[in-house]
Amino acid sequence: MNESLLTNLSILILLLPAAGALCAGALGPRHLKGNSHWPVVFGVGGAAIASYILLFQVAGAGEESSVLIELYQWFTAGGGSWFNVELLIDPLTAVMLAVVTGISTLVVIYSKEYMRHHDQPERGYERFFAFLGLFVFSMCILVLGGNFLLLYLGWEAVGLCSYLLIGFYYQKPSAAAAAKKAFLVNRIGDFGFGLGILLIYITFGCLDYATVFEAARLGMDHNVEALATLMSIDAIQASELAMTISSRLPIIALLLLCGAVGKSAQLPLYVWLPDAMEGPSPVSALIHAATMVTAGIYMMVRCGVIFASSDAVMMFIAILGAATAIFAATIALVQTDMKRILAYSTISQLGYMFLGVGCFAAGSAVFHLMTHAFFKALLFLGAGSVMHAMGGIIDVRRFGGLKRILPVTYLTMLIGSAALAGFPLLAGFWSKDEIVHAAFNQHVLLGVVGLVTAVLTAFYTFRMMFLAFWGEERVPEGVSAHESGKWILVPLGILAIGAIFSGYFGVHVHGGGFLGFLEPHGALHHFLEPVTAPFAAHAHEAHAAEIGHGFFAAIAHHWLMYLSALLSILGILVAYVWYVQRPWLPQVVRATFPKAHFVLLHKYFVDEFYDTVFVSPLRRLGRFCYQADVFLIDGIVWFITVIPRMFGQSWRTLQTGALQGYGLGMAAGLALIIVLVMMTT
Amino acid sequence: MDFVSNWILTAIIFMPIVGAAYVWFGSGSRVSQVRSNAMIGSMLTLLLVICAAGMHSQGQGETVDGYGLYHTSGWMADGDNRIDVNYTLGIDGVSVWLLLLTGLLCPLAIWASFSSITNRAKEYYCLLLLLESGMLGVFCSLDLLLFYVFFEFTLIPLFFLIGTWGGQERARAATKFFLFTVAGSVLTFAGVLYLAFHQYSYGDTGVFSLNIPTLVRYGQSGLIPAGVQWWIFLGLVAGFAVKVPLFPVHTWLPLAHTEAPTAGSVLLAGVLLKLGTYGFIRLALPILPEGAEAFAHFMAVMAIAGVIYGALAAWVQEDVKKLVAYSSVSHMGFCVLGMFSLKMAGMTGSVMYMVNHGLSTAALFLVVGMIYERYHTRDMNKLGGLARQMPVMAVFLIIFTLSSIGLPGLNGFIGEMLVLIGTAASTETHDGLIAGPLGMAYAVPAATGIVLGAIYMLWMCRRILFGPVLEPPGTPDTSAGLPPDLSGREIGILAPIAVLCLVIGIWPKPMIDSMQPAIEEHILASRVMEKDINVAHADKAMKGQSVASNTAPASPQADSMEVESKPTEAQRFTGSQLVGSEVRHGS
Repeated sequence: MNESLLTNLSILILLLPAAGALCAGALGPRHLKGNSHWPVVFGVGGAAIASYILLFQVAGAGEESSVLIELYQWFTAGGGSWFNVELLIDPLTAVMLAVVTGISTLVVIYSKEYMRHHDQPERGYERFFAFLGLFVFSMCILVLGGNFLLLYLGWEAVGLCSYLLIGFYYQKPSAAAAAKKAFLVNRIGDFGFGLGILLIYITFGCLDYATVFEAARLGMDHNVEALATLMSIDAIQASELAMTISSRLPIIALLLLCGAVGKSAQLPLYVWLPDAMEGPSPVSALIHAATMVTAGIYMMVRCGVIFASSDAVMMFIAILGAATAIFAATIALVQTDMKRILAYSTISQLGYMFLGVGCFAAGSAVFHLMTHAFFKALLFLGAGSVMHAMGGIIDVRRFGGLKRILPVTYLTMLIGSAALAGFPLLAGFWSKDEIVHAAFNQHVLLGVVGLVTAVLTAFYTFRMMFLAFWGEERVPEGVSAHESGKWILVPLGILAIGAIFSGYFGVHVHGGGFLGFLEPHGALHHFLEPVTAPFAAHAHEAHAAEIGHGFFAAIAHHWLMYLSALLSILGILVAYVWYVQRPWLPQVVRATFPKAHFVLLHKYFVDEFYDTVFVSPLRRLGRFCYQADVFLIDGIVWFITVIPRMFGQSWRTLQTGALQGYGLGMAAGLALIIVLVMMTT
Repeated sequence: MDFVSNWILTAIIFMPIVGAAYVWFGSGSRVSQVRSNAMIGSMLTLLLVICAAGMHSQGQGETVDGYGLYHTSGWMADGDNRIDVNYTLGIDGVSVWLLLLTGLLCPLAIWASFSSITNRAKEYYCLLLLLESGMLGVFCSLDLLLFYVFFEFTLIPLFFLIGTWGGQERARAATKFFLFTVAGSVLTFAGVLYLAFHQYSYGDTGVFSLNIPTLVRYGQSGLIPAGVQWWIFLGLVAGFAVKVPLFPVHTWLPLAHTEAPTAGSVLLAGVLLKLGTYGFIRLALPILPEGAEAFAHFMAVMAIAGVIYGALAAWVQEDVKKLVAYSSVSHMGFCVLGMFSLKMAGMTGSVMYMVNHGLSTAALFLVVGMIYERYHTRDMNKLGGLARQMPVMAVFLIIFTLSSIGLPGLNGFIGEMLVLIGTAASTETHDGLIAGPLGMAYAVPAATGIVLGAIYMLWMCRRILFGPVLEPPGTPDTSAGLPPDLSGREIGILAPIAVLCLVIGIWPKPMIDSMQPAIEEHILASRVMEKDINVAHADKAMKGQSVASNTAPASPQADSMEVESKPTEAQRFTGSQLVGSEVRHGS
């Protein structure tokens, strides 16, 4: 590969959005004002162009598709080795960069119109674009970083941008609270993530990907000689190190997983993501659907050696993913806020990606990440377009039948919904199917959960669509609804194209039966193979163990695709019957199962649970600490000071100030001394 | 050049005093002239500090015992040269950064006082300059008595600053602050005397020396038995721990901070707390390696308790200034934890933390002061949504908050991460130092401090900056000529700190490069593993079982000049070279 070109490209990818953000932030308030989007459009767009050139470079490189670029030395823990600021470029990075910068560009363009009302820029317009630019910069660091510290840097920085953008309407108390919640819940996950990084340092003595992964691989294989050479230690130490590595890798994996669970909003740390919808819709589309929340999946795939080393950990990830997928999907069934439905859907889809990783199908997880980025960004931006037209109202109970008022939005969102629902031949169909396939290989139950969730997904997605766009035409009072302008519609159109066709990166043409001529594991998977190799190595073992379940394997291979296509259509049909043909049916169901509906509507009371079990006691402890300061510690100090004071008090009565008293004392003392002297001599 | 390099540290220490004299005598009764003179004095000091730092990095001037810009003059002497108590100054890669920090914060603190201090301005600025002098003196001193004099001297100006220009409860705050710190430092002085007399009685110099390098050499030779080390350590720690402040002797801090005028809080949090940690790393750790190791667990537990306790207490405060004050308790816990990992990473992190905390917390106090000047309240129940009223202030407050909670890319992260790495990897030997006492068991609870730190700082941001606008009636008060948002002067105060936060976070290499050799030579010398000599030897020497004299023992008649002019290498102090001589003293 052309290394200097890659170096320049990657630096450009980092600097362009940062420069755009800086420009918008510094010049925006005084000079650019309503034009503050331009530096960010150019910065992020330039980064996107550079990312695609980089992607083609990496794709054209064949075997040697990984390059490490050291920029400068950052800091050190002593002993001569530094933590560098270094960039790693490999297929995974290239794909992630393409997705991130591509979607970002569309979102930035979209925001140009969205963040205005009646062509007047909203308050904080330049701030919004500066934060968006900063976000793209941070996300690029996250995926480009060549060691765990840069990963952590990007990880925290995207969290910060998320915080700032969720709290964009900071005067709304709910937005301010949501922003804080997002940051804090993420920090809880990052607590584990940080400890994982510490444990990696303790175990390996360094934090760069190359050495850590190589040492982990050698340690797991117990390849003592190679390990000794790699770490420049002697054989005995290397043997010990190998033992340490194999015993610690599962712990490291679990700690890193904490971070992924927080960032990718999985059980039990998903609670911040629905609240994060307080941010403007473009932010929800970009950060809370397409890019930042997928950082957890990126990290797990990146650290494949660490995660795939333990079957138990992988199984745990798979179960966690499956549980989150179905859990969030059930909540989405009853929500009425369009963006919240999509938020729970995002949690659910991220659960699918976790399931994919946990079932050793890392390539499929990244594939789903990519397709999901297209159709979910599309749906959020579409929801934003609806919100824009409805004057900021997003509750599907308050409007309906919008398909004639917002034809383009409707059409593009329909495509996005169909892709999300796994409608045959659209993007989501291919990627979700692969994950369900892998889940069946791992365990039947996981696969069944995947299929059930697919039905639920199709149902709630089309419930939302039917409620918003079909039926009687209704708009909130005082709103003159109108279709959005081209700055909004063009990005929607491009994303809709992506939602239809992006699935074909992951399939390849094959001579076979109906639908079978398109087989999974296409170009994208081959491209990612150097990165996903650790998963593949273990997946073969898993497959070998699964031979006994020949029946399911056979179903999975040939029939799963038809089955999931059917289930998806079934979900859509049910939604059609319930919400278009017989709109009274949902009422009946709600009346039949009032408790279930109540629990779902209140999202299983998880927020309330956390508040009672964690937040309140901690705050009480804080109050106790402060009281202890005031009363206990200062009390002890006061007590200590009392002793000399009492001493003084008890003697001060002698200092009466009366001369005769002192005279008497003097005389008595003198007499005493004289007596003593006389007695001794 | 020799003349300059010889005297520049003296010039740095006395420049603020000259400035104070000029403020007192040279400026008329007009406040504006008083404050501009004070500003000039502190800016000249900053200039000198920068020059000194530059000269030090160039290696100019005399270097003795690894301390650059060395200067010594006779102070106390008797006819037989049996007393080595001199006016000895010198800096190394650790103290130079603290000097720079002090040099930077003082002019900013003075500048920040322009609008808030109107009555008795002359006294006020003189006291600030005297305080600066004292703080700079501590970081330059290489003589224990000199160190102690400066260390105590800082109390006097601050006592009056709090007691005269403070808030409602200023008298109580000043008294409490004074009594706590004096009580601690009396014990420290007892420890110092015990140490000096021990050296005089059992050391091979035969001189009553308070020279810090001499005492460090003596302490590291292993001649102080463990039991004695413990006592001296406890004595030294008493004063330093109050100053830091370490849990549970921190209760003076929130009160002092809340009542102090802004500049007082800034210098108190920014620099004075560091005198305590500086005392640890300059004296307690190098002179008493066994004491330090023996108490490391205890100190670490106290530090972690402080981290968590301070954070929780900060979270329930309604007064912003008190919140920031408790955050200092929490942060300084990190600082102490790092140094007691006795590892390069932890120690570097600890020193970085001192500088970073000095910047970010000082800046937070400055911002709080700016809010207070406009709204006359620090009660978060009465303030809200200020991001709308003061957008520029909001930007700065968020930057410093993020720096304070250790966001990667800003300065706080480097120190925090290094402290945690040092603590967690304390038992590992990647850094070429022998295994330290702490481990993952200490890192895990300490790391909760990161989560808690985010909780209370964002809590504060949310309440002050976000939500609907909430202002006490009749505010913002612009009667003093302040604009509703920050003025150019206030931006000028905060901007340099913000830039430094970013620069240190992105490119801390110059700091680390200059710090680590000094740490290895002056603080952790006894823990360096020699590659070619058996590790066990070093270990043994460390444990004090094999006690030895130094290379080329100085004769009792040697005068102080001879002691200084001995060549020094880093290896001179290492345990491995101490092996093999006769045992002079055991217990």
